[in-house]
Amino acid sequence: MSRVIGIDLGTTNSCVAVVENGQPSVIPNAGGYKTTPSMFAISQDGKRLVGHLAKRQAITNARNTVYAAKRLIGRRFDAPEVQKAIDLCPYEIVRGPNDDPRLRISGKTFTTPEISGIILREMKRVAEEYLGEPVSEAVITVPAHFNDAQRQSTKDAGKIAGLEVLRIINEPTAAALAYGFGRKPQGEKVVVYDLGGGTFDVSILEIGEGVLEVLATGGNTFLGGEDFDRRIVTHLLERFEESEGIDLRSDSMALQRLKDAAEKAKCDLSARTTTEINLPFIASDASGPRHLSLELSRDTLEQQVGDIVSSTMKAVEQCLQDAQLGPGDVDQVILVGGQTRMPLVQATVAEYFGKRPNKGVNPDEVVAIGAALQGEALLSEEQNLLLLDVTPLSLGIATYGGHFAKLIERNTTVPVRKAHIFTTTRDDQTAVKIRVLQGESDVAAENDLLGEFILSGIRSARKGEPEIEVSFDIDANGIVSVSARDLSTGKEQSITVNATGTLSEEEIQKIIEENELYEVQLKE
Amino acid sequence: MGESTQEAIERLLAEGLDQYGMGQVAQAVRLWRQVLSLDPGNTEAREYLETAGDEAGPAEAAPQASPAADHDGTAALLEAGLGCLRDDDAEGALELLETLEKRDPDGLEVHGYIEMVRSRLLKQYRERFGSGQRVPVPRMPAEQMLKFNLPAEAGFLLSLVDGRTSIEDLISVCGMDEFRVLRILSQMLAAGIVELES
Repeated sequence: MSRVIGIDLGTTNSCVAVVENGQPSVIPNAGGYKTTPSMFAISQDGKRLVGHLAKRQAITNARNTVYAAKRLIGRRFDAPEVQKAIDLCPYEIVRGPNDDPRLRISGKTFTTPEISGIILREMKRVAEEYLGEPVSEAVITVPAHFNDAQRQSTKDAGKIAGLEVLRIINEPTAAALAYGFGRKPQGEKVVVYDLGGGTFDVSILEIGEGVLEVLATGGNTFLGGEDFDRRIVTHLLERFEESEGIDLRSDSMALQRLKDAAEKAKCDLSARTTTEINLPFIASDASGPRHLSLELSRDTLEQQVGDIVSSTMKAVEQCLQDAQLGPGDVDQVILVGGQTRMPLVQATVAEYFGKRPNKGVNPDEVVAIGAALQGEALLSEEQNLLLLDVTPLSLGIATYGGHFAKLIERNTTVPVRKAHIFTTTRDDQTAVKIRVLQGESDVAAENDLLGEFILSGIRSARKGEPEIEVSFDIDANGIVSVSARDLSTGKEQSITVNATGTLSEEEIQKIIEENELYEVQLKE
Repeated sequence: MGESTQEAIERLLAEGLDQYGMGQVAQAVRLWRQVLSLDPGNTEAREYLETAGDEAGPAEAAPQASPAADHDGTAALLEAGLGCLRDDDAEGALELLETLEKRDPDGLEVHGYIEMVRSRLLKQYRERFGSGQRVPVPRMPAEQMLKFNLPAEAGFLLSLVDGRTSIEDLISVCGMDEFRVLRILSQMLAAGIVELES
């Protein structure tokens, strides 16, 4: 029986784990690293680069390097997050035929599931190399706030990578699973504070024996360790300009080195109070080569990024309010994401909750470990792990006057099924258009359109008489199905919501074939 | 602004001393002989060559440019470059030709020679480095490297040399073309800054 891998498909880094002899472990890549940058690039000599190699040229070949595709996956082109990414990202983001964002690098256009698929395929390859056998099944994690379209697109990405996605689970749920491994927590309320490279997520879960329930989620899609790195780079640029009179802001090679050095210095300062940054030959002018050499202290770093850390706590407060809890009600705080190794982050979290965060889990690995545990549980006959997630956003349909009628409120535990009776708005109306929305606004147009369909053959009657039952089903993956039924005629229409931006089976197959062709070309 | 003949001479003298100081005698001799190609009477270069055990014979053998027709030294530089080429010193030829190119970026003749030399050098580099799968490894601590006069481009490439990344991958990630990468690596290899693992 082939093994199931757990993949933490991160915005900045990805991680793969497997359970061997009952013990979960993270699989290192060929370079010995336990995480792989979620980056894809086409180099100037036309080579496809994934992971560390892509990262090492991310600044010098910025226009042809895709990072943080996870921020875009499953979104519409007009979504604010996509528009913000267009402003921030050096690579080109264009409108796709399904109103989805597509990424154009080196003259080729990629869908976002395709990019995530490339990263997932790399993680699959890492696992196969380590295990020495083919891997075809996986559990993949997504942020708890991902909507239906984002989850479906992630499943598509798995398919493109040649993986059968047994389950999509929420990242905090996976973290809590790993936290609970080998323990028997009873009714504990756990906060998962996840400060990754590109995003910040906070979730509150209740863990019982074999049951994990997400009570509330929140966060910021555009806040993460990269912001810390940028502050350090700015500091280094200013210091170098002061001492040498040379502005390196437009020197991509220097910026690449500064970015790498900033990340390393940041990691060093989690373990010590000062660090040396030495970048020989970073510039040269008529007088010869110039070197950057300076000391960075933890105090200086904390001054530079203190406001970022504080801003995460606002999201924590909101999340606690959503769960109707106070800081004192929380039993454990689990830190996820490499950035949480920073002492300032740990101290800020500890001060807020009045307790030290749990240090029994590795923040870089905990999500992948949880996914691997869930994969193992799905294969096991005992099925002794029951995941109860919640829907991150309210679900409903558009109604007359542009209103949004919520059928399932946010933070409702899934799987769930709910139904409501609607009626016609005109006399002799024989068809209704069901527009399925996800979001929190009472105004229909301000929410995400997940899909739409028409129910025809309704009994001809005066307005308000027909009874049309609309049912929503959300499965354990968080994927939504909607049906509408005329109660008098029994006429029914249903859809598994195929939201704007997700790929058709034909499109997925075409991408898989293209990738297979590319693999063959690589071997020549 | 382009480098004058006098500036080129001073640079070559200084680079020769750097190389000599690092024990790269052959490199130093090559650079000082280039000085004599530009200025056959240069006493500094002759003294250095004598110290290095070279009798400065090639200076006389090198093609001479006509001083009367060459007010800015362009013809002399070109002749010196072609002389290097005839002596099978493609590296030296390229340095001189690039000096000329900086003076006159639109000069078709020089550009043509540069392309020819690059092509010849690329072939030599490929033979020297063999498979692109070979991995360069840093050979000295960062503080020791500071004595070299490396341009920022070489500094960047050096920052990517980590003992794991192959030459082929370095070419893909550094954003420079194959020729530039191999040329810098070749220079760093000659200076003992890096070594190659097979």
